[in-house]
Amino acid sequence: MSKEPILIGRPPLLRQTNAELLLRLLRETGPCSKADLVRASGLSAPTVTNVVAHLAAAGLVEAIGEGESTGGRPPDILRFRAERGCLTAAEIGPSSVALLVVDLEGRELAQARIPFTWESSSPKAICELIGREVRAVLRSLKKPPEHLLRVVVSVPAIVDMKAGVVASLSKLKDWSDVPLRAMLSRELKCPVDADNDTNLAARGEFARGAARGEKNFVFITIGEGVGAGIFVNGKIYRGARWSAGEIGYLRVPNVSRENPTIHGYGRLEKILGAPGILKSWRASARSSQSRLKVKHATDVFDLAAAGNAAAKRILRQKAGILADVVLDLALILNPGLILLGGEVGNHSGLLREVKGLLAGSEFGVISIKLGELGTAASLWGAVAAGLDSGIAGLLQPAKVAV
Amino acid sequence: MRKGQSRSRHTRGRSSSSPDGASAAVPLLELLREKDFKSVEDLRKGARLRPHEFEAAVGLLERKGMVERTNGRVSAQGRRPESLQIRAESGYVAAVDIGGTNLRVVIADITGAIVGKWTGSTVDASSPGKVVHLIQKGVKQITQQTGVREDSLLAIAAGAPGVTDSKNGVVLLTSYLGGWKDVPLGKMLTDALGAPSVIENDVRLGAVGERWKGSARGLDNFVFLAIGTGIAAGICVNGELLHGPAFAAGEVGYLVVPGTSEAGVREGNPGALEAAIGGEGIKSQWRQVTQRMHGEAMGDLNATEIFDRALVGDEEAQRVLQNSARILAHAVYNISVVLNCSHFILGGGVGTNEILRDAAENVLRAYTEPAQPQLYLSSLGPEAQLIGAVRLALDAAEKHMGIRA
Repeated sequence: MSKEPILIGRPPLLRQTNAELLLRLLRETGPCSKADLVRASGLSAPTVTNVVAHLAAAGLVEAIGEGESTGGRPPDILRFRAERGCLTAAEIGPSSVALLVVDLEGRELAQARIPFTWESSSPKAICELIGREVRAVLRSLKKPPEHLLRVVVSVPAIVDMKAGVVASLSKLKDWSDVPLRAMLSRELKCPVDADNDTNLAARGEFARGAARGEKNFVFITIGEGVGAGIFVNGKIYRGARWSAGEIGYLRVPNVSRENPTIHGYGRLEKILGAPGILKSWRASARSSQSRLKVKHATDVFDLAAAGNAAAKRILRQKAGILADVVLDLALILNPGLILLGGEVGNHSGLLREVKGLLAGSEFGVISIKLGELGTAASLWGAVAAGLDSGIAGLLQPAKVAV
Repeated sequence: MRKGQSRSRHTRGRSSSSPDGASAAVPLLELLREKDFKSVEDLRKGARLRPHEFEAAVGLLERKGMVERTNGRVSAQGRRPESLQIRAESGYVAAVDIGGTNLRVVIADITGAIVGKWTGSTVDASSPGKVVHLIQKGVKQITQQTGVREDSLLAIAAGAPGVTDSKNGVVLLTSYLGGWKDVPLGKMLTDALGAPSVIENDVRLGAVGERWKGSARGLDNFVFLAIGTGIAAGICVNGELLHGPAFAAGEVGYLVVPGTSEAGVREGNPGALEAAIGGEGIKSQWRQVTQRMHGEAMGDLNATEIFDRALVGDEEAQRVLQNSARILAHAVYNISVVLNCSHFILGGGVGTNEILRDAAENVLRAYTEPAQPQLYLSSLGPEAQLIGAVRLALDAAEKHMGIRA
């Protein structure tokens, strides 16, 4: 490494693209030689040499000894230094912030969940909270602050990804058009991305969950509300104004009858979400004077599985509405897979019922499964998004000695 | 930027396999197709090309015989042509719309201008072999009438009324034409006509046509919703057609919305949405409404006649119109919610009915969250598919000639 790397093409951008490519290869295949990288990347040998020198100077790659010779001088085996930095995924929920800190290979280093009250849920307070807790976690990991290379935040709201602005978070204080990316980036002094929680959950299932290898799928989440994360050709599909998949607005049959309002239709999420399910249960329990206590929406589904007639009716009715939603999504997008997730949606009883209903239609061929990552899907999606958006560019190489 | 990166990645130190000037040649050709330029310099500026890029692109198009320059002159910067013309007659493409009853063929020159048309019937000739034969016949007739040489045919694009694997040129499934299954139409056409071919679903072709020359000009995100006997959507997102892994994206004839029948859909029957507001669906609404109000069904009217009656105050017709408009509005709204896309072009015999559009728009006024869908009528009407096919055929020709990536 005694030479300044030669600039290639349109220098900074091109080198960065090549650097990301080589890093990805190293991450995916594990330690290998330069010749391996040349073969796998399609880059020329001088380019690889150059970029590797650049990456080594930045501390992202190191030689770990000699490999097997195929005749000449044995090649150096290169290794990706995942410990060179870390990423943090943060998830802002209605009453707590969850953190997941990983190394540059996406291996978990630490997790934390910090509750907050509504009074201390303003954008400023939340940013300070995240800043404080992230710094504390880094200290406990004995990592210097500059090792934090990127933070990806998940929010249950529509996010303008270009501007880094969160549109509205009704459950928290003063969250309307919040420039979260800029605020957090100032607080943590590192690049920050903010994204919608459902989109990130889909991203997580794609990276390491039930949608691995499926480039076209829809992740439907049902919890307090409902939403869908849409993947088209291996990428999150966001729509013209960042709100693709806001299926809480969908109008499907059988919703009106249950919740007649002036406008004729209840919002889908009021029916399918946890409060809607509990409401249905209470209404039915009142009329049948049932004494069964139910705390969570999924308890109703569990009761249905155990044979409770009222619970079975509710499950069948909710599944009927969900089946219509699934059908409409499938017709519009033709995905290869539909995943159910979220605290309520991730239930095998619900899945079975929906599958049964769709099997009777011409579109019984739609493949529907449960998500595999549960409530951690968004955090892992944030990790994947952070790793994919590139790390080589975040590190300025130490001055290479001439 | 992208192009530069990807090319450098694959060149491995040797010269690039993609011909010089290719990246600029396509937009240049597009500009030449669109309008006249006062001077060559205006054209260069219009294309936003640097002199050397412009020269490379013009050189390439010239070598392919697609443009002609006159009054060449030598200056300090090199040869700069005085005038540059697209050579319309340098090549032709064929575009085909295969319908359940009609088969239409047009031939266009490389500017996209249609030079000849031919229409045949698929009623007694619906098998793939016979359809290809019909297309061959149509192409021959047009070439004979117009004097276009058959060997100047650069590419052919055909739209099929069914699920179509556009990647491999295979018609996977149609309910028309006596039901095609896995027909390698692309290969059959290439064999028959000796030119590269593209096969696409007819409604997606409509979307391509509207984006090129119709109501969706310049839009990257819109939905072309065709409502005739059947209903389907050609969806364009981020400037690309949405196909889905099984090429069935936009088959919204089966969509369920409030007001559509809740009876399960059986194979072979029209889908829920089609059964409600497809051409036949509206007819059957009329029969039901008049039956209910008069004890017997009143004469068979088609959708246009029913909506015309509604406009002059006919009560039964207004019921049908309002019900259809509500269902259409729900369908449009649901598609717009899923895709977060608000620009809808309505096509097809029923879809282009202005009375229905106005009534549906009225319903949508209350649907402001998250975004209110906007309804526009197709400006190309029944030509949308053919114009879309011309566009895809031109793209295919450019690809084949090595000037399009």
